[in-house]
Amino acid sequence: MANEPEDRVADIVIAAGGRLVSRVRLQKVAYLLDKLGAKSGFGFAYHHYGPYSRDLDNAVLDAEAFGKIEETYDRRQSDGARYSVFEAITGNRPHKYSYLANDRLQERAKELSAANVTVLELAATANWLLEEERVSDWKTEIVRRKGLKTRNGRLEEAVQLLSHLGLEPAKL
Amino acid sequence: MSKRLRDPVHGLIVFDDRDPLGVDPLAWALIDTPEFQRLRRIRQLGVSEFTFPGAVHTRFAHSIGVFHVARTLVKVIEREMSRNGQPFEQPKAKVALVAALLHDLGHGPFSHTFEGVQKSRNVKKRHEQWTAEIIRSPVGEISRRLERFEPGFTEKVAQLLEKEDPEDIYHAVVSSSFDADRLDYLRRDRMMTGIGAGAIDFDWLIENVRVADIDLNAPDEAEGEAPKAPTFCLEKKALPAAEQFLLARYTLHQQVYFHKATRCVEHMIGKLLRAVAGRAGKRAECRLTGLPAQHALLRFFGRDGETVENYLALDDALVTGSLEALSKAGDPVIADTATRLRNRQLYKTLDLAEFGEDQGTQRSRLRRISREFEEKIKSEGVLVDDKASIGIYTEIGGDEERMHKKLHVLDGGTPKEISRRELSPLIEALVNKKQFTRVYFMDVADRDAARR
Repeated sequence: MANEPEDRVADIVIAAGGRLVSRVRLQKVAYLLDKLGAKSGFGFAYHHYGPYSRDLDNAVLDAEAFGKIEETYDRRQSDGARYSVFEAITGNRPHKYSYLANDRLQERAKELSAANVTVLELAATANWLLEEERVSDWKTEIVRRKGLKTRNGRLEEAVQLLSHLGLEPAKL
Repeated sequence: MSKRLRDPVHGLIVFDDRDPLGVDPLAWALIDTPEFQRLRRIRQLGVSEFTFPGAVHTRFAHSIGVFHVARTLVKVIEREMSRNGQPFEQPKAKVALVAALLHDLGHGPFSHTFEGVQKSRNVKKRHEQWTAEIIRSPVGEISRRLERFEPGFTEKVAQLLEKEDPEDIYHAVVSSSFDADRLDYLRRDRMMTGIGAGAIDFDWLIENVRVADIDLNAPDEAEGEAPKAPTFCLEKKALPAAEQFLLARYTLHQQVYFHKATRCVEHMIGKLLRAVAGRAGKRAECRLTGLPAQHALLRFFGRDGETVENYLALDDALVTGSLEALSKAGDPVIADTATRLRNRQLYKTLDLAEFGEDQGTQRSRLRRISREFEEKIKSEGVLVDDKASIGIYTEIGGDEERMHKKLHVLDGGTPKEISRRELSPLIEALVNKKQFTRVYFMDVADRDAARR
């Protein structure tokens, strides 16, 4: 079974339903899937939207170059800001999963791909702060870093999401 | 008595003793601290002088330039608050000015190269975190002077620099599409490298800056209640100047920051520092580095060595000054890499663009080379550089840029992101990331084989 970086990107997009919106979402979904036991092999580091993998970014290049996914662009109505839309190219053949062969992970990928992008950013960041940076007072730290984004119930939604995934911060 | 500095970019920079905000005398006192003086020994463009011999300007000069531009931006805020009928908040302006001056304190030797070395050692701390830690250090000179200026000021400055997203317009002085850092380095790097392209119409841009609220959420198809914060936007009549401003950054990435020889040297320094760090972690092996036992690099990379004090002992000058000793190391990797760097005997480059611009071709080539030279890549006899990409907004690390770092133009009074086709087809054409992939070979025969 092929398990090249581009196959792993295709796995995520196909598990999401064949379509996944925005690079930020793709990054956070891949990060959280790894935390749930998927083994992408992508290295993550902290960037502006939380955990980010340059390896994954390169894998997207591969996936596009080798005809596994197609990237198109759309724009937000309010301010015209651009975002990516990834669609899987399967050519009507059934997809053979590489690193997301597990049904549970496929389901999680679908759920996460439908989540609000800011909630995903906050969930991934909270997990990163606790697991990677070992910040014990992660709530203060995430509010310090993300400011307004944590308001209007977004941070609570992120915590709920983590709990739903079994990655609740209290247990870490 | 006011203090004056001459600067090649901004001309005369005056620190006025009678500054009504009281920030100028504080800034002068901060410049005088050992933490800030260390920036004299860190070059703004790291090893770009291997390629652009004039690019020897330092983070010291840049930081003072950023402070100078920050003063201009604070005046813009005052002007725009008055235009919008909102109050100008002096206390926040003071914090922004001092944060602008101190924003680069946490850079390590060769800046991003050192950060890359740390990342490869699985160290999570970024230079922004070092900056905050240096500012807060209770034994350092910075917090002593900040607290003397105003109790609690240290925390305000550190917190402003740690915020990733804006909450008010004062944050835009240190982080926005139009922040003081960018407004200094675009002009300074262009001047010191000597590249002809990439000029910006600074005065016209400043004249046309306005303050308006933008959406902070990452762009997405789901529209919803998004948090908003004020940032610098530009009047539409400054659209051509705005395009040039973004092109200037693009050009610098293309011609200077991603120059293949510069990137090669960065990778070689990374290899050298990783090798030193590997030996420093084992006491018995320290001597194999060629460095004296108490050398600052060994202290920092040694067990429990990552303290503020040890970090502040590191700078470009320390590393380049150690090349002679490193070139006599018992460890052959350290000795060879240090000797090569000392004499500018660089690895041989294979730029995958040689095979054409088609990404499919380049990615296939890279895959083939990665397989063919798998062992040498592991041992760093072959260095793969596939992490440089550039779009009009892309950061060096490759992540998407945050909304407040994207340039907004007022269109019918509403802030719109500039790359919309209706606003700027020119910028729209440059949004997609372009990848620069190079492979550096220790052995020229390997490079030639890979080329075939």
